[in-house]
Amino acid sequence: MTQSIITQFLSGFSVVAILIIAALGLAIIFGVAGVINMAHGEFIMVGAYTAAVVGKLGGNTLVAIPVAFVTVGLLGLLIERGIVQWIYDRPLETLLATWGVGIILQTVTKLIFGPELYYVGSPKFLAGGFRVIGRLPFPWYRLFLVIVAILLLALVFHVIFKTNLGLEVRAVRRNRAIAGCLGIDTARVDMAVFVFGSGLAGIAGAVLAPIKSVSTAMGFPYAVDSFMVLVLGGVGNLWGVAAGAGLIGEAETVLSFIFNNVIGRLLVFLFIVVTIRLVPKGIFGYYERR
Amino acid sequence: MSLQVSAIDTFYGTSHILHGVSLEIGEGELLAVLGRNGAGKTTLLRSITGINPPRRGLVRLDGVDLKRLKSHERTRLGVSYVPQGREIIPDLTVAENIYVALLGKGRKRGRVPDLVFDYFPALRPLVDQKGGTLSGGQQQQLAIARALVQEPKFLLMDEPTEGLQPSVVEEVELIIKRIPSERKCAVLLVEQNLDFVRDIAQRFAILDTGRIVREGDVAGLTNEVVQRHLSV
Repeated sequence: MTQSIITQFLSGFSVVAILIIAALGLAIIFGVAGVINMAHGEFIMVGAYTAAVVGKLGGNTLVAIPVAFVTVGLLGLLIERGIVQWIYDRPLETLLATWGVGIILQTVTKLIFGPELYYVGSPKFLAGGFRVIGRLPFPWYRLFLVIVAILLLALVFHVIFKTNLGLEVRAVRRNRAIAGCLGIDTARVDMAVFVFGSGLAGIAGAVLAPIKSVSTAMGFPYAVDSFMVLVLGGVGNLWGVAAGAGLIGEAETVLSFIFNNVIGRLLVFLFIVVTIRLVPKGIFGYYERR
Repeated sequence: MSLQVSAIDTFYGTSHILHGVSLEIGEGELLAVLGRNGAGKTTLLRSITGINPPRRGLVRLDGVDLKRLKSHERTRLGVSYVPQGREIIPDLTVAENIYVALLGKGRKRGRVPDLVFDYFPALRPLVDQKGGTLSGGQQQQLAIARALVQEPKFLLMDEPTEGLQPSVVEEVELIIKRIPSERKCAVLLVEQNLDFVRDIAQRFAILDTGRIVREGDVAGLTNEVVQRHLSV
């Protein structure tokens, strides 16, 4: 039993990776621009359809990653310039507007691609798997997801802590009015953050497409998971994404093994509720929830 | 070179804070704005920076109407701000706080300019320390340094000695005294310390419940004027 739980714990790394990949874009947009992007799941979905199109054209996931980043980044730019930039300071309206955008994206995607499911294969060199401990196989593609999650986290850390944009982002996140008085164009920073976060959601869709059937509704569960990661880990701190994803991913995997999927998820929800009762801003959170 | 504030009315929501306030400041001048708590001094500076733009009236910099300009555009035109309470970005190091000001002015990040250490040598060993861990006096030095690296034409300072221990107050006052002549910029100073104002300002303006009730050369800041408009 102990060995089985350890095995599950190791396989939980891929779930953690999936959560990190899915939540990063949302964390950036929420943490800096303060927008609760209800269309986040649909951004992931568009990334996945982009991967499907790339696949049809003969490309694999490695090709789909940059294409999805650019495609969904441009979509984010369009939405930010067209809608969100006018309502940044009105949280309820951004929430409703991005929800509406999500519905539109689902509908338009369904009109273009039809209601059928799309299958995106993983790259040939990542076919098959290996054994970790005992008999449980660990697919190469899941290991690839772990590596992608680490690389994406590293990329985001680099952008935030090593670039001029990141410095501006940190200043705006902490004190928007004063950052403006220091000469920072806060609207440009918001736009850059929204586009970057959207692009990350696109990458999430591209790399998650091979492990899930691509459909217009596929983004919703990822969006729910992403919000859970942020609520638990805290908004405004990238370590919160890693911590939230780590706790949820591992807890869900191990508890689902010990009990079953439903009870496992239920216990995770319970754990989140208790945690935010005790630590309202999340484990690493900066913003107090009101 | 001049900064003109003409008949501005500024509101916080429905609260009418400034009522037709006008003043003007030119190159190398130091104008002190005085007033009781809640008189509208900070709101005046926030109106000029664009944080709380006035609903009516004009703010002109060298004849350019700032009405449609956002805070960062006003900064790039030459208005820098040392806010009340310092407002250092606490998560950023001393150096990063300076870099933000340089980037905001369209300059390269490079390294911390010597100017910072010329004025505030105490900041040199602290460059890699987070702003939030500095003492009040050190934060005030950083707030002024942050504004000075932007080489402003107009420097707005909101109670820069507030909450500092007396020895640090003296140090900060000496620096402020040097700024107009050495940096060739005009200073609009909100300050409560009357001796300090009499020592360094050329002119003064007194705000009372959002209106300018007295202004003129600092020689006119007599005890009678103080008694009438500033005593509680």
